[in-house]
This record gives sequence, C-alpha cells and structure tokens, in this order.
Amino acid sequence: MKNKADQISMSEEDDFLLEIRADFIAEAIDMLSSAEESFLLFERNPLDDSSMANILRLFHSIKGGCKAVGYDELAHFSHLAEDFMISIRKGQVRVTSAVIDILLEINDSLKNAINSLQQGGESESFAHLEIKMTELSNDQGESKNQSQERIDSVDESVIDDATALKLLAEMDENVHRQIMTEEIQSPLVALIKEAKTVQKVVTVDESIKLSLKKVDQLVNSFGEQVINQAKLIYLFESMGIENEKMKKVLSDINKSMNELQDTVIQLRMINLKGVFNRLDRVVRETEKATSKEIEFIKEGIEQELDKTIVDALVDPLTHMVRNSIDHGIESREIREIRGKPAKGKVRIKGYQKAGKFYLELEDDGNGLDHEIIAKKAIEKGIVRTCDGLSKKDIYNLIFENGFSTRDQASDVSGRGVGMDVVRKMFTDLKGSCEIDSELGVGTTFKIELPLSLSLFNGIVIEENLQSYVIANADLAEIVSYDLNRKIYSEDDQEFIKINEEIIPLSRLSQVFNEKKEKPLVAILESQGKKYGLLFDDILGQERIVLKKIDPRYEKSGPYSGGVILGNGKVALVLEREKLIKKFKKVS
Amino acid sequence: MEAFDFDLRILVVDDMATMRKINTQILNRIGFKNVKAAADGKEAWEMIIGALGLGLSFGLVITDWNMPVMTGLDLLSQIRNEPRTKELKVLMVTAEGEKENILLAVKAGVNNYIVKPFTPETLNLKLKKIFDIK
Amino acid sequence: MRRYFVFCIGGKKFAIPMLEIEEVVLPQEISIVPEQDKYLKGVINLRGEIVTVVDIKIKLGLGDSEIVDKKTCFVVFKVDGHKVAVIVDEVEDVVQIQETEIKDVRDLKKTKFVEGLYRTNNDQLLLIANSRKLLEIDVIEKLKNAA
Repeated sequence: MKNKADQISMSEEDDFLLEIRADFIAEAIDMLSSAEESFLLFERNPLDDSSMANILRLFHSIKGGCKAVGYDELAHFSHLAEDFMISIRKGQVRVTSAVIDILLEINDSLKNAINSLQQGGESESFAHLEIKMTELSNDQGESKNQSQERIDSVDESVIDDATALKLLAEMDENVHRQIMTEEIQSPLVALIKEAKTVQKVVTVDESIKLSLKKVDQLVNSFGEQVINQAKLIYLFESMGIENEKMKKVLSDINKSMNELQDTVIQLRMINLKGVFNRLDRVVRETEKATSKEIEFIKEGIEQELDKTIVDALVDPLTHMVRNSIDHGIESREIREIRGKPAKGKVRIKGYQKAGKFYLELEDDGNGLDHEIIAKKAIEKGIVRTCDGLSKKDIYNLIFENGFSTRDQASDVSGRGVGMDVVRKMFTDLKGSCEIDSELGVGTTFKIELPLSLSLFNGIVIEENLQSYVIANADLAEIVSYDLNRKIYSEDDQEFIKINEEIIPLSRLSQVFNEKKEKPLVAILESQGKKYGLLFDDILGQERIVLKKIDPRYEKSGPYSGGVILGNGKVALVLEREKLIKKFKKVS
Repeated sequence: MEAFDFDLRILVVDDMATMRKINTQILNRIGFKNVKAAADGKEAWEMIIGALGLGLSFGLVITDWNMPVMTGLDLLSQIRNEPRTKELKVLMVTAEGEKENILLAVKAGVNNYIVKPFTPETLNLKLKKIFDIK
Repeated sequence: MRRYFVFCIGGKKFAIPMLEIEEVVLPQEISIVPEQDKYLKGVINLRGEIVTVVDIKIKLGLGDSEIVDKKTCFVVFKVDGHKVAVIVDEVEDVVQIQETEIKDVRDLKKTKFVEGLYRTNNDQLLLIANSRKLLEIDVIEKLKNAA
C-alpha cells in the first residue's frame, strides 16, 4: 500500500514545519511561565509534591515537543533538566537556595533560548548550566519520604505478568529483551510496583493562540468599519430623510458595533499573571540583596488590560517594588521596636472602576516624612514654599523633575531612575500615578490606567472651528458657563466658579470666539483635583479608534493622536494629563 | 482487515497543542481524514462517550501518557472498564526508555505503543500491527 | 538616469526623485492643529490615514501658501517610510535627469535644502531639493525613537 506521505511536496512540508515550530514556541513560552510559578511555589514549600510534579510534566512535554519539531539541542537540555529535577524529587539532591536559583536559571535560559528562536536567532549554549547541574547532583540529600507517592492501581485481573510479557514481545522485541535481561530479582514486580504519582493539576483556561499581528489587523479592520459606520450616519443625517426602517437598521448596526468593540478590545487583553509573577521574582531578589523578609500579597491577578499596557507595566512596577523593599520596609530590628511583624508587607492590588483600571502598591514600612520632602523640594527649587500644600500634595512632589530622596545611590534601586521617570512611564501609557503615606505606618502608590489605548468612547467638541475628542473616561462632566459670570484671574491663571467650586480654567486656543453667549466647560478630574476646559460646542458622541499622528504634534500639544470623524475631517484627541499640564501651576 | 479503513474515526490525545497538530498531520498523510483531538484524558473520555451517544464510535485512540486531569493510563483503564468501549484500540505514545510505563500499559490492556517523536512510516507499521494487516 | 517629479512652488521649479513621491491629491480641508509652527499646516484624512500637511514655502523663504489657485494640490511624499503632504502651487512634469549633469551646490550654502541645480533642454532651471531636510524627517525619527 503506497504511503500518501510520498505524495506531499517538499514546500508543503517546510511550511508545515515552520507553522508547528511557531505553534510550539508559543506553547513552550506559556508552559515555561507556568513552570516558573511552580518553581516559586516549590521554593516556598519543598515538601509539596504537586508543584514539582507539575514542573516535571511541563518539562517532559517541552522536551517531547522540542524533539518533535527538530530543536535537538533544546531537547537535550530539557532532558538533562528533567533528570536533574527527578533526582531532586527523589531526594537525591538536597533542596537548597542554590538549587532553587539554578532551577530558576534553567527556566530563564530555556525561555530566552525559545524567545531567540522565535526571533530567528540561534539559541545560546547551556554548557555552564549543565556543569552546575552535575555539581549539585553530587551533593547527596536524604531520600524523600516515599509515603507521598501513590501506587497506580492496575486491575490485576485484566492481564497477568506472564501474558503481559508475551504481548510485549509481540509489540517490540527489543524492549521485551531488555526487560527480560534486567538483573533485578523480580524485574516485573519491581517495575510494576514502582510508585507513580498521579498528576492532579489544574488545567489552564481553554484558549487558542492568536498572533498579535492578526489581532492588530482585526483592530484595524474594526477601525475602518467604525469610520464607515460614522460616514453612513453622517450621510443619512445630512440627507434629512425621515425613514423609520433606515433608522432601525442604523440603530442595529450601532448595537452590534458596540458588541464588536467590546470583543475587539477584549482580544488584546491579557491578565496580570505575567507581571505579578515577574514581581514575585523581583521581591525574591530584593529580599536577598537587602537581607529583609517580605510577605508579598497579590490581588486582582485575574484582572485584564490591553497587552501593550501590561507589557509596559513591568519596568516601572519593578522599580517601585524594589524601592518599597529597599527604602520603605525597615530592618528587622526597627520593625520589632515599632511593633510591626518581622516580615515586611508589600501588597499589590489591581481593580477596575468607572471605566479605568487601578493598581495600588502598598507597603507597611517607613512611610514618608513630609517635612523632609518639603525642605528638599524647596532646596531643589521645585516649589517656592510648601505653605498651603496638604501633606499629600507634598508627598507627590517626589514625582517632580529633579527630585530624589536618597543622596547615595543604593545599589538595589538607585541607578539614577528617579520617581519622575517612573511617573513618566505611566503617563506615557495615558495613565497617572500618585502617592499617599503616613510616617511610620507605610506608603501607598495609586496608579490609574486606561483599559485600552486605542479604542474608547469619547465626545467630539469644537473650538474655533476645529474638532477635538475627549475620552468619556477622562471627563467628569460638561457644564455650560454664562460668560457674563466672572472669570477670576490670578498670576496668569484664570479661575471660574462652578457648583460652588473654584477651578482653574484653560482654553485650547488663544483666540476665543466672543460671539458665543454660553460657552461650554469640560471638567476634567485628576488626582482629586478638577480642571475646566472652555470650548465652543459639542458635536456629539463617537466611537473612537485612535490613530497615530505626527510625533511633532504630540510633542508640542496635548494630543495623544487623531481620529477620523464621520464627515471625513480629522479631530485631534486630547489627552487628559497633557491637557492638565497646560494649566499654570497652582501655587 | 485487508487494508486500512481510512474512514476510521481516530482520537489523538496530548496536552500539547503542537503535538496534537503534528500527530493529526501524520495521520492525515497516511490517509486518515477523520481525526479528532483532545487535550487530556477527561476530554478524550467525554468525546468517546459523546460519539457513542450519537451512534458513532471511535476506532482508535492514540494517547500520550503524561497529561493533567486524567493520565493516559487512567484513560486506558476507563476505556477497558466500560463495556461499550472495552474493545476500542488504544495506541500509547511514550518517550524513549519508559519501560515501566510500557509494561503498566500492557497490563492495563493497551494494544501497542509507539515512541515519540515518530515518523509516518513507523506509525504505519504500528497501525498495521494493531489492525492485523499484512 | 533617474526620473524626477517636477512641481512649482512660489514661482520656482523643484525636482524630487520619483521614488520619494507617493501620490498627488486634490486639495482638501486641512484640520488645523493649533499653536504650531507655521510650517506645520495641519493634518488631512488620506483614505483613513492621518497625514501631516506642511508648507515648505516658509522653509524656502518664499512667503506663505494660500490655497487659492485651482492648480494648487497636495503632493504626498514618502521618505524613509514617513508620509508627509506638501502644498504645491502646480504640478509640472516627470523628467529624466542624468545625475552627473546636476550641478552640486551644497557648498554654496545659500539654502539648507537645495542641493543641486539642473538646466533642462528648454532652458528651465530646476532646483533639486533634499526632501529629508525639507520635511524634517530627522526630527520625526528622533521623536518617534524617543517614545
């Protein structure tokens, strides 16, 4: 019987190989993330066999996968790593901090190797790790307590040993021969009774792998569709036709677009697991470097955010966590004196509220001393005086350019990355960051982020015949303002009174349209403070698909991009934090 | 059987998506077009029973051993213990040198085993053995 | 021999390598971005893409561009992957120019942007300009990389 395999052409085979290699790489990366989690769990509790069992299953699968797609070097290394871990599990290698370090290093190397394969590069040599594994293997540990292992129950009445051997001989001569010549007294009994632990591991969410490129293409297509929908509505409205059927269809289209928008945003969302796991590692490293013990609490790990935002969170959060442990958490002795638990507490919590995402990073350490900060701020010329500033205002001065709370750079979190850079990392993501603290009790960072960078709902406003967009989430409210009412002016900054509150006012353009009797004010809120933006008219609500604009505009104006409206014109999208900078400093 | 029944419904079980894809491809190349896949023993069992409920049946299960939720061995035991499926042909996929597993599998009633990674030719031979084709 | 695109701005004729020209579009309403350099006129919607419009007359010291003439249009340049639309008074022609016959005027330092002069067969003077400099591509790239 001719094997159809012969009929497949070479190029189809190559394509298939490329495809499954790509699939494998994606899957392996996932599995290594899961393995890393298990390694950390194992470190915390080496007596719990389930984490090691999970790791072994993952490494075994990765090894098999490497072989199947032709990554032989990686397969070989995975095999060595697997053997090493089996000997750890059997108790032949003692579990020390050095061993855990090596395990994490193995995991990292594999991850890096696979990542570089994804980029099309060569994987590096694992020689040094292989040497280390051999070294550590020679450090004999006590044999593990076998009681945890479970003997697989095989229904003895199905097939007896002798018949089994005979069947095996029919299946494979070689293996049969091997088993028969093994010099153990009762080879069959010994082999069969060798304990096996059943892997009971929680399965990961059912999911499919999507290439980010495809998702972006989908977002682009959706963006096109949004423009088409807007054009359609604009044309219909300008024709002035009153047609109930048309209206219904347009309304239905709008409804399904809403659903599509939510789905499309969701596609690019990933959860915080990756970031939180990374922070686990950071805590661990910082603990060692500072000789402090930390209890790291993670909440909201299942919360989801746009992938671009999540990926960009790792750097600033890493710095903040290191900072908290290094400078925030006190030494054991001081904590004892203060009556605090020996272990410093660091907690990160993620949650959604009112269309925005929040991350809180809290520590129960030193807290900030507002007097020291105030003095420093004045010294560095950041403010003239701190009179009239609340404690919280003073704490937030540490985010200003030119501020740094330590004169000597600590080798853990120093390195010249000031809090101003950290805050910029969040504002670059169209978010914000503020701090609150209590001396002696602790410090909390509160980070605000948008749920999606490029898809959101906003209102279109007009100022001086040009259209602008403000995201709904950025707006507290819109009020109309009677021009006859007074506009106060102080130090070059205008103020108006709205709802008994005095808030600073700004306009987008210098030339204000005097004809309008009742201009409108958009009230923006940031960090508990309100700001008013004066403008001519509201044009409507629109679904916004953010498009990039020339970086020269983004640099010189409060814009985060542009959007194409239904009438074909381009509206500039205003970015809240950049807008607020336009307001003169309130002193 | 005289020759392969290419309409045979085959179930591939492996926790790695990459492996499921590869094995399905290999089966397709040999000529089997009716190939389904499951990610662990539990899912596989549900699919086997589900098919029976529709009046259809799987003719062969090709399963990996080391899987979460329900292992290959447990799946095999379940298949052999159920009257409606006890004759279902099962081929176990094993890594090199897993003699203990192979013997356990044989005792539990596996029809044959194959070492991974395998070629279409090797699988072809094993299938011939299972279905008793010359 | 290379093909050059010739257009008129402020009474002068300019030639740019065809490779750098993406397309020519009829003038459309420019969305103005307030408080910018006069050179940055605004943005337009180019089939769903937001493209910057610049007025290079200002860089060349030839006054200001007003879209009054029927012949005015936008020439969309694409230089090193960056698209920029330029307001042009009139589109002229595509000509073949032998590069060796271009007179190099970079040393003359009269203007940063004109790098060569070419006299056509019918005695017309074409100014060969450096589009990277005219369109501030360096600035765009620097800002993009800083992001």
